[in-house]
Amino acid sequence: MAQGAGHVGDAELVAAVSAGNKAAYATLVDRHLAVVYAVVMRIVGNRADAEDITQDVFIRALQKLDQFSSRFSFRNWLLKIASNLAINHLRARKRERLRLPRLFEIQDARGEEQQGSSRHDTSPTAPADWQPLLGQLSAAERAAITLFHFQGLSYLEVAEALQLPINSVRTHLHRGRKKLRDFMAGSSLPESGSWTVAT
Amino acid sequence: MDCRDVEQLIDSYLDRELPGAAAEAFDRHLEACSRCQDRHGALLAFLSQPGEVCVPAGLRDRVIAAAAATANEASRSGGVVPTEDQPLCLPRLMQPAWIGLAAACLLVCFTGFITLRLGAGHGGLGAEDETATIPTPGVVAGYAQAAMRGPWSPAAVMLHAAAIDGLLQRPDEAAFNLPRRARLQPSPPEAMPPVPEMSLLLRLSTLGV
Repeated sequence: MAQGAGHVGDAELVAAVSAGNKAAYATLVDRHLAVVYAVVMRIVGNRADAEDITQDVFIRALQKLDQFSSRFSFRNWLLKIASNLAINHLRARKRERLRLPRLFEIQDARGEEQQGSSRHDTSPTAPADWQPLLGQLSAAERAAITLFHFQGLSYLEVAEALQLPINSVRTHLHRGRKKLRDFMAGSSLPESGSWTVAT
Repeated sequence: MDCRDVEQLIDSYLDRELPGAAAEAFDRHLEACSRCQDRHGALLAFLSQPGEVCVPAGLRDRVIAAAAATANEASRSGGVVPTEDQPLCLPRLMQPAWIGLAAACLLVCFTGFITLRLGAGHGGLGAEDETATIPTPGVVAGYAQAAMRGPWSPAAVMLHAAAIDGLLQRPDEAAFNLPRRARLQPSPPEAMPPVPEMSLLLRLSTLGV
């Protein structure tokens, strides 16, 4: 199944998974893992959390497979689950941070050490390129910009994924871009070099 | 298109709302104008090419293994896949709202039972002091409201209601030491307490119910 799966659509694979076909599920994971992980990683900004949430996304998708309608894109359905889980994670983390500030200071210090060590063994494009920029935005702004600009979803698809009115999506995008522009104008990232700062 | 047009149209351009010809003119100006490049180039570059995110090694296998474990667990539990919305460890029937509702139903039944027993002791419905024993809908509603507040509240209300019912018949005696038949004898008219519904409501209000 996996070898000839390049010609099989997501809807057929979903039907096969519903019938108990494990190879079809593996094919769906292979097909969508990168995009789901990228979206989650850009929203939460933390590798360990992003891995856990990505795993949860695919488990949740398996659990709710009967709710998926083949009229819609399976990828967008996954991105909807992914963005919701990632935003909920960020909000829960924010509440915890308010409750236990000292614990999060220690966790942040450890996280920075791990990020520093993992930069050398994971990817040629380090998270430093985009992480400080998206870190300026709220969870909803990050999700909107990630889905609209980085994944190419339309306004309507972003609104469906985030379960927001289209006008709210528009507001999040405009605010997010303004923050990015202000941040780029007001600071520099000497180690990245992937974008130049306007003067 | 000039620099001022770019300032005005930048959001529409980023929203993919510019018509084809306008978008092409926008691109042409941006390529040629160093001022606009300085001003918007960084943001445009970031939004169009934010940098790749590589999937960590081993994540695929973890995802598939976790899914297999979930499927196995589902098959063991009779095909019911546990979700966070419906945790298997706490059935919905055990949730507080349902406990409160069940307690309210029990209290209503209890009230009806007491009413019938006391009514029989006084000669049944239609006896002259039936208002002393038949709770009004307001009292029943008070019970139900109390029951919905939590598992302990109904028990407190029930005990108080029983005590009030018994003591109001003979306020000058240790009513609970008398045989039941004796307790249920109607009191002389001058010894009749105030309307018990009001007393019950007063007592309920002092309980904070």
